[in-house]
Amino acid sequence: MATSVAPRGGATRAGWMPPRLSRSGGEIARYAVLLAFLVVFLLPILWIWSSAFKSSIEIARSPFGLPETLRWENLTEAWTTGRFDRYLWNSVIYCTAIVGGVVALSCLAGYALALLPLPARDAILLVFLLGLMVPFQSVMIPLYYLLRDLQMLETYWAFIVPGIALRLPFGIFLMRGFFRGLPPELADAARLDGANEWGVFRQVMLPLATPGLATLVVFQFMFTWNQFLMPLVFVQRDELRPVSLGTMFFFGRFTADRGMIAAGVTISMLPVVLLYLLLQRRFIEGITAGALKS
Amino acid sequence: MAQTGFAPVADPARRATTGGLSGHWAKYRAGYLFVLPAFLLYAVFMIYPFAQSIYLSFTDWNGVEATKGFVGFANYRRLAGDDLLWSSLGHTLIWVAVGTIVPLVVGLALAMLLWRRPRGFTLFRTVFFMPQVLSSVVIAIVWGWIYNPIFGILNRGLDGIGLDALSRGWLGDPDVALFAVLAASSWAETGFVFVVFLAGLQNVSRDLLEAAMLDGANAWQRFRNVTVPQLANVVNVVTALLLIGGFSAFDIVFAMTGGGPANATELIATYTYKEAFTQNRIGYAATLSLVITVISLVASVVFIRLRERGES
Amino acid sequence: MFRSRSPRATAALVLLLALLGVAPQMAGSAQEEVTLRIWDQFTGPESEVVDQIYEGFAEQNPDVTIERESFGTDEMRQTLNAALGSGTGPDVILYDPGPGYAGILVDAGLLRPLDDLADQFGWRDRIVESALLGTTIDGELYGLPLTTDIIGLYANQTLLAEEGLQMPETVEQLVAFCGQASEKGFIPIAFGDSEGWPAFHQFSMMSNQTIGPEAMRRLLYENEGSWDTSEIVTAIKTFFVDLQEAGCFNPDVNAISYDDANSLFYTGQALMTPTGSWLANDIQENMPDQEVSLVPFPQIAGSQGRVWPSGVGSAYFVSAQSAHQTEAGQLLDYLVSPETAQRWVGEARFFLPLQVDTAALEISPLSQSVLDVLESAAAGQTQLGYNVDVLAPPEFNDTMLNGFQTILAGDKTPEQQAADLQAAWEAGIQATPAP
Repeated sequence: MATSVAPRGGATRAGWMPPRLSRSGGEIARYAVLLAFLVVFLLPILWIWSSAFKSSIEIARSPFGLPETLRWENLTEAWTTGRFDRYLWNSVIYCTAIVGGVVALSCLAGYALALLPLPARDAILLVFLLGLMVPFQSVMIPLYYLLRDLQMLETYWAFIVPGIALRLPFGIFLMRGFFRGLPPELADAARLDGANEWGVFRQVMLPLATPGLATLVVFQFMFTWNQFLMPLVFVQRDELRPVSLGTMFFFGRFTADRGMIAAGVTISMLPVVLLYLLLQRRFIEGITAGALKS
Repeated sequence: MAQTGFAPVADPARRATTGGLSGHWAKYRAGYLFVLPAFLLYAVFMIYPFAQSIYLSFTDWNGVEATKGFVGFANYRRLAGDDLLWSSLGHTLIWVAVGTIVPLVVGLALAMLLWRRPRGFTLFRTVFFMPQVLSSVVIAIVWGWIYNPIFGILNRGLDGIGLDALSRGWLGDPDVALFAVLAASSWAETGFVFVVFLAGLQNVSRDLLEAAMLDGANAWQRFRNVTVPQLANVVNVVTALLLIGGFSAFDIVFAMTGGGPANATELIATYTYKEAFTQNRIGYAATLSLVITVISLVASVVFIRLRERGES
Repeated sequence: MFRSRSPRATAALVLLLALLGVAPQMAGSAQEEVTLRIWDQFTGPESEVVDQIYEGFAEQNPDVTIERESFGTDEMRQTLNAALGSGTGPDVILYDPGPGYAGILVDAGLLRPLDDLADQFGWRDRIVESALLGTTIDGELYGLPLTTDIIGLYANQTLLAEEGLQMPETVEQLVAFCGQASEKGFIPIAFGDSEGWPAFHQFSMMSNQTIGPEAMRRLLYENEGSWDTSEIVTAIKTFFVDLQEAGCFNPDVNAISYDDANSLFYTGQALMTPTGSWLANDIQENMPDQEVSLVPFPQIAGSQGRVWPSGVGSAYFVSAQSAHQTEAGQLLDYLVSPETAQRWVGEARFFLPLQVDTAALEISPLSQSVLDVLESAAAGQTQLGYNVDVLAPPEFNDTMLNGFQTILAGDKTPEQQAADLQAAWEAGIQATPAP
């Protein structure tokens, strides 16, 4: 048996557990429901993966069946003609830059707003708080023209810079929350030892906030990788498109060839899904920690 | 955790050897410098455009002319008579309501079912959360295919189990399309709610539940009187996130139906995009975007107030 | 001030600086090498031919590089505005003419007038006048017409013969045909309207029939007449209500895309599909061993007669902000030169509003039938109708798009739609003058 919980429920080492349903009928019902949902959650994904190996005609003819033969050509075609190698690389660039930027700036500002004396602290916090509640649509139009006037629209910066700027409120509040949870006495002790503020931050407080950092990285990476509207508005050149946009335009170009579409969609999903499966724990811990801390 | 202030000896403020402005600077220097990069970037690329948005809403700019024609409140007056705006708002409200309640209920139910960590817990948790990591485009394409009347698996599945009365052109039927897109969106959002509740359930006080059990309370009573109140915080957070996200929902609708058929799935965010980037009516689009902002703000404030009242 | 904190941050900084170095290169163009960026909508089998045609220009002009990007119709319409407005978008685009499409770009000052080029290269001598008229907005020529379309009903003659079905000539016969075809397990007419614009072409066919080409011309070009008439109502009702109720279409029209409907025709599940001559190439690629014919839509009882609506399908436009106006102009002239025209017709199987010497080309029967119609029209023997959406303002097209979908869903009457069309027409005419 995988579980070793007391059947009557109550306190256990794993935490409190509700009592096991005494009638096995209850157990069956539970599993039935869980399995039903498992199918609902899994089937669409499995379907698209199996379709990636079928020809368009086969997809129309037998959607539920397994592919007759594994048509790897769909995937290679999508990769080259669909320029997914380019799009994936772009997404890597964007994610690295944006996650890096958000983390760096949020740590600094979050730390300051949590633990350093600031005369206008509350005002600054309020300004950032408003940013949390203002949706992207409110700024996207003037931002577009601003980026155009700054000649950034043809470059990677078109997405990187606003991508960082608009996620700062979230990052700052998250990191501030984590920093506030740290004992200030450690900082004081470091200062007593003669460290300057930068040293205190770098050597003492930042290492302690690593769980917060990890959370922010996870959140920000997932968000940026899948971001769609911002690149749609700001990234004008195909060579600079991230994979989310690239997938959409790929779909527009090849609507008739379903095998190719399925292959393209599979390719665009694969990196994140693999990352998720490998680092599952981290993902979920990050999400829950972040949500609960809010 | 409350800031109790710095210990006197290590107080950086005490390090200031001179008073006045340089003393002020010395005391707050670190604070300023740490906040500066973030604040600068934010000011240029968020505050300034937002202010511009307000200004643009009073013009009839088309994005290309050198001068922006000032039209006063004309755009705002146009809001009242704009049928498409009102139907978009209606759709957005439905989206927010259903898109919050369904993931909340289903997510909680799934978390409760897995509370005991039955066999296969890890598998279930992995699968239930996976759709969250997919991009909206991928979800839109996959579900667009599922709904396709010719080769999609939904209609075929329904026919197969004898429910062919239900099969229809899901994304082509104005009465059903919005809910079809909502279903796809909820499919992804539920995973997020689910894991948060899963974690929240771990924090439910064991003493109270044991006591309730000893008192003879049955499962439903325990749920209602002990579990739910303990989850209140988590419910608040999740609801807030879903609500705020719901008002500016764009990606999946745009990618799945583009607002159609016959504007049946037009949300206010998609309408704003079209006005700005397809019709070149920048001034009016700015006005619309401010409508979204105001609604989001009001919803957030109302929500915070309710939460404060609930906590007191 | 900040020393690098960690290898990861250093790497990120280096990456950013590297991008900074790359960025200026991407922002401008080099001195001597000219890169012309073309955006078009050729995504089907003709795409390879188009590549070769562009190549041909690059070969003739060694210091020009061509960067091409092709889009699906909807993606093009969604992103073109922003791309051209950014000042760094494409130089040359292939787009739909008319107030509802290119007209919006002209209003925003994003396209360059081509009158001077037309004079310089003598286009007015080579290109059919009505086509040039179709790409003229506010009295100025903005587009170089590339394709000319006619709209009709494709029928799979091979299957019809196999099943012993007669090709219907009137709508009455068509309804009977639909019953017979359904009984045999076929979809009589494949029609998908999820994008909304396929309905435009159906409306063009019906309304040109009921009010006649001459009245249509006066309505579209001179604003004489009204859309809110019984003839227009009949036109709308016949297709969007009567034929649907007669079971002529596949179910769930609003949920089926244009491409999906076409694939129903290609795979022989449907016997007919109503669309334009632009699909001739795809049809021949996908149905090589079937005999397919294109005929005018069957006659509505009491109408002015069967007619082919026609219009400029696509045209090349030049961005007003392009830094390479001269090269763009040369490219345009190359694209309608006699040699290139032969390739368009012979290999890509398009129909151009030019005189093309087709003697040496291999033309399929289907394409030949279209060429015959166009020649007959040019010679004044056949009067063509007018495809509405490329001549109507955006408000009108919006009303068409939403209204016809709503009628198909059963939530609107043809009378309401006719009235709405007239209202939208008037609103649009006030905003922008008629072509």
